[in-house]
Amino acid sequence: MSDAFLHARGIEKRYGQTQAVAGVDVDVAQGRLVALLGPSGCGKTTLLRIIAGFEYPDAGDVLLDGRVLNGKTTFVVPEKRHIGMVFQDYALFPHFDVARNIAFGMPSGVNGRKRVDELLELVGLTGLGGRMPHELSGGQQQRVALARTFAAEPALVLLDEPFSNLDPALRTKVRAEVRQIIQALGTTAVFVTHDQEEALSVAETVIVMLEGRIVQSGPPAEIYRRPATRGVAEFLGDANMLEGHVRDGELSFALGLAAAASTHAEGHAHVLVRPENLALTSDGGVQGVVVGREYYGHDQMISVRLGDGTLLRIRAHAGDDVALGATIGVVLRGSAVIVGE
Amino acid sequence: MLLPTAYLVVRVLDEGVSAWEDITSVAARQAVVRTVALATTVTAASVALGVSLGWLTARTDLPLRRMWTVLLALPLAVPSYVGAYTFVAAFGPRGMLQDVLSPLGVATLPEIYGFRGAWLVLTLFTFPYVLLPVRAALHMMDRSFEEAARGLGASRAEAFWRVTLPQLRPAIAAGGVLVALYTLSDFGAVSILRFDSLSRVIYIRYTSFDRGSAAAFALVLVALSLVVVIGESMLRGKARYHATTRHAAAPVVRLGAWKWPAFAFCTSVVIISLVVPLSVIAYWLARAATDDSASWLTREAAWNSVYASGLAALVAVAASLPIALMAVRYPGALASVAEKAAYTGYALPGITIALALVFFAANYAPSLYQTMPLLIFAYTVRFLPQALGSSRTALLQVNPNTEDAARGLGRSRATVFRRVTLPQIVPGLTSGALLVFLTVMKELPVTLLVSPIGFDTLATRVWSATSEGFFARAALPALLLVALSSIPLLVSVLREERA
Repeated sequence: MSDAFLHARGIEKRYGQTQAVAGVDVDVAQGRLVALLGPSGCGKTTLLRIIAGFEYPDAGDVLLDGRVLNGKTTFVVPEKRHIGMVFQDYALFPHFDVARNIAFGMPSGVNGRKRVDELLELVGLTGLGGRMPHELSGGQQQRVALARTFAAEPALVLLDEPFSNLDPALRTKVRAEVRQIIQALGTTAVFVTHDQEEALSVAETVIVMLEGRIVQSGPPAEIYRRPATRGVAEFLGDANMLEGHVRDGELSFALGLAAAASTHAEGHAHVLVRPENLALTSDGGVQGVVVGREYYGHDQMISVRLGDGTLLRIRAHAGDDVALGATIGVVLRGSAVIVGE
Repeated sequence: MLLPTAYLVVRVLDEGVSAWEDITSVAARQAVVRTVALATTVTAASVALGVSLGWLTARTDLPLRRMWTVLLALPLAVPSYVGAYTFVAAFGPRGMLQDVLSPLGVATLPEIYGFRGAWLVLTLFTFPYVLLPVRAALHMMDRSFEEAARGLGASRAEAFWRVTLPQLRPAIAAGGVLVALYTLSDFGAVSILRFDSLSRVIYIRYTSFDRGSAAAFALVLVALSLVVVIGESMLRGKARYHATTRHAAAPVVRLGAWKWPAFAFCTSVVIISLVVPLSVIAYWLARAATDDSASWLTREAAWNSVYASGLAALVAVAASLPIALMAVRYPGALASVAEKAAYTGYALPGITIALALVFFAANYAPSLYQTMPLLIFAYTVRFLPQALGSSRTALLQVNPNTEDAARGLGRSRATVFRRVTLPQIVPGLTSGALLVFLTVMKELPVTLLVSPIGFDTLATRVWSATSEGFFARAALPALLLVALSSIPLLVSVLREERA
């Protein structure tokens, strides 16, 4: 038995031929903000809905603060779980105004109007209690949905793709606000996302889920820098995956030699080099030909084919003047990481 | 829902050999041939009218296009027996025309009873069933298919026949099936126009206490309806039709020299299917102004109609809600069986439902025989599909996440239904109830057979007054029925126009 606040073990869920969730264990410590990250269709939303009690798992237990929610003989109905869910489409009640939406789940005995005003202030919507949901912008609806969830004083908040319905310009701002609100209240929260940037920038802990299984969890920097598998490495951002060889504690690959982690077995190895860990040089380095250039404004991505056929993507300064077809040197500027299969 | 048919089968099996003799008799064969002939010709004529008028009003520079759009849909608001009444009251013996012409020495008019009358009346008041889906399909259709065909060297006519028309097939089939089913199950028009199609034969046998053969014939009619429904689903075709992108403006075909012939065509259809019936009603209404008993009878019938239709609407919507909930929220084998069973009401002609319930009540529940509860139950069986359609649509518009969110906020299933689901579906349920209300108002065969003795409604007033030749007495109820039926029709046509 784990001392985690939210503890899910051996969760399985199958829809016909598809194994949506294939034996998942999740532990979340109290007060944490956790991202459940994975591509669409990896089973993360199903897992969230199982925790909330909207789906019945085929197998597995869910405990919250030591209380069994799903067990062999136990199933606690959603309304008795004290778990708040914020839906991707916000699911505001269209026939209620903002204030009544927020007041909907308040425990009896709370001074409704006062609490609604407090929550409106918390989410920065003071004075909008009389609006109907359709009169609000996407970002405002999002904040009403949050306020409504918090009003019910949940022990755990689940958010399903909370930012995906916002337009990109607004998204960064809303992310920061939501993070602030959740942390201000000290609530434990798990949010599901398919956007690695979102997971890395918002969460304190990232859980990566691929094909119904959890493949890695840890702090964002750890996950990004030391992905457990090729799958995680490629999902989390631009990745150059190279083949290498470890001998006597030293890794040799297309870009030369590097120290290998002492734990790595001798022999063949997959090597991850992020594009920002490579640099172009006119002086030395491994020689290659520039075969592609994508200009992004703040920087640019240069594709270089090395003599042995290896294709590398290199993040370069926007100002670097690189001509297609030119021969150029590539050097490793940061670390190369050996990852599992 | 399946009870009526099941009971008819049992009943016919009880009759055994004599039922088989009924079904295979010459009279049965003739009735089947007549019914099939009527359904086929009415459907063919409706398709011809519906497609040509649909194309003219959707795709051409026909003068006053928007006006035709509305006017050409309105014949649907005339129940077939009201249409039949107006034709008999205009062109029949002792009718309006004869009233006017007899001083001039014209003694007889061409016969309007029989096949020709039934065919004409049913075509005139059902062709919008084809027109409306065809026009909707033409509006939705992606013009780029036609333009691609023209670009590949096809003439306009070739493009229409080889590209446009095949794409209209689902719409034509859907409308054609409605027309065919309507014609098969029609009782009012054929009985007023004395055409012995199956439903009239069934009624005559029933009223002459030959109940066994009425039941046998009713089964034959059910079988014919099933053939239509099954045939349609087999013919529907496998190709998927869809618009790749929506284009703002549909191409307008210039009619050129054909403009005025097309205009005359639309005008004459509207005159025959709308102006004639309405002016006949107006003529007899004027004649009825002196007849006090007519208006008194109408008031009672109107109240009965409102009362029975209102109850039926409430019961049908209430009954449809659990089925719709199951189908929308918990789809599965059970839900789909329940839904399919409910939809059989569409394919079951009213007269067979009525007959089955009358038999059933007479034998097993005499206390229900000819009572309001049985009448309401019969209406519910008949019109549950309609209520189910709107309940389903209403529920589909409710975001299931709002229900989950409410439960996550600590509210029980019952509370969530009451406070979150119900308020969101009430508008949809109300319009469903209104639709059922107006349809029940027009219903004839079930009302005739199942209602308590002496229970007159607007529909039965029109029918019985016409049958007895009291054209003046039928005028006011007929006018009320047409006016009521045109309300939902106008609303939906105008909504489509705005879209």
